[in-house]
Amino acid sequence: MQLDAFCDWVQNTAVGAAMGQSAYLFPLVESLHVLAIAVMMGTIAFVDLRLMGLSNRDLPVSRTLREMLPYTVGSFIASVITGTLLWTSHAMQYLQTTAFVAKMVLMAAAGLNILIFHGVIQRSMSQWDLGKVPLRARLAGCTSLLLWVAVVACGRWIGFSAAGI
Amino acid sequence: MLQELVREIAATAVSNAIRTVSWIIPAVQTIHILGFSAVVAAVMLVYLRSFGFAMRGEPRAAVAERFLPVVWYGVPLLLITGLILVVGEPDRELLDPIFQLKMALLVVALALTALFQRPLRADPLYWDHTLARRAGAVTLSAVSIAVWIAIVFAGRWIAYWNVS
Repeated sequence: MQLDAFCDWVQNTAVGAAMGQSAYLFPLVESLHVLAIAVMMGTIAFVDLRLMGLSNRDLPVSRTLREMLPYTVGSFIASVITGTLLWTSHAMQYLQTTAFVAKMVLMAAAGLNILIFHGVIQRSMSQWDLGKVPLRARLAGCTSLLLWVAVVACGRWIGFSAAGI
Repeated sequence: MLQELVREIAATAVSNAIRTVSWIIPAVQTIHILGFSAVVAAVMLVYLRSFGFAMRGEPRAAVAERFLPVVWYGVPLLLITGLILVVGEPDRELLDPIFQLKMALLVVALALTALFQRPLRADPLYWDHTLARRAGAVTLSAVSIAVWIAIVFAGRWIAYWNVS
């Protein structure tokens, strides 16, 4: 199968081989991955909790987004880069791990939620920047928080269930 | 003495349950990660404010008041989830020099947080009055960020240090 060949190639590139064999490279990249996730998850939670009306109600929603988004985006990019590096160490085994696949699917769902929020819900933001947040925006915040919590949980489960690593 | 404590903890029924029920440790670790995510993001926003990178236009004291409670509520949650992990695998944690370093760094980080926050309660402009104070705030912020990053790193390296 082509996927097999591709994963085989990935694992045998200089990067994949180094990630798989070096005793300290994997933990180092993993630590950076966790750090990036912490910044990402924390800033996402602040936005979502603001949308749900549970925290920082005195801070306009637009201001909250403006303050958090650069850190969320930056740390997301860092998470993806470090995550991809981790994946190259055992490319095929990860794809055969349920928690890994679930994590990717949940991230796609979270991405879709982001698109709906920024593309549709956010358009009327000026009307509820400081007042009562409409239900659809609160739901988007709640959905985002639940999905990202599930992403983190799946990420942690990979370490306990990855086949043959 | 520490060895004895580890043996005694490991022999308890609770410790045994945490170890043998397969979902407990990853579930508690997930809560631990979510908890320190909130703490890390909060301290980052407060301290990057000192460099003009975050929350510009909001006074220093207001930013501290907004986000530092996350630290004081978050750390107890982290201590509880951390304690569950220690009880489950006492040898992996208590005897590990990286774990011991992590706890020492945590004490330092909390002391620095208090050092930064306390004067702001009495005087919101405490860190802004003189050039020396402003330099002090910048230094404190840089050291604090470094210590919190080191704590996260140490946490992950516990898994690799003495794999028994």
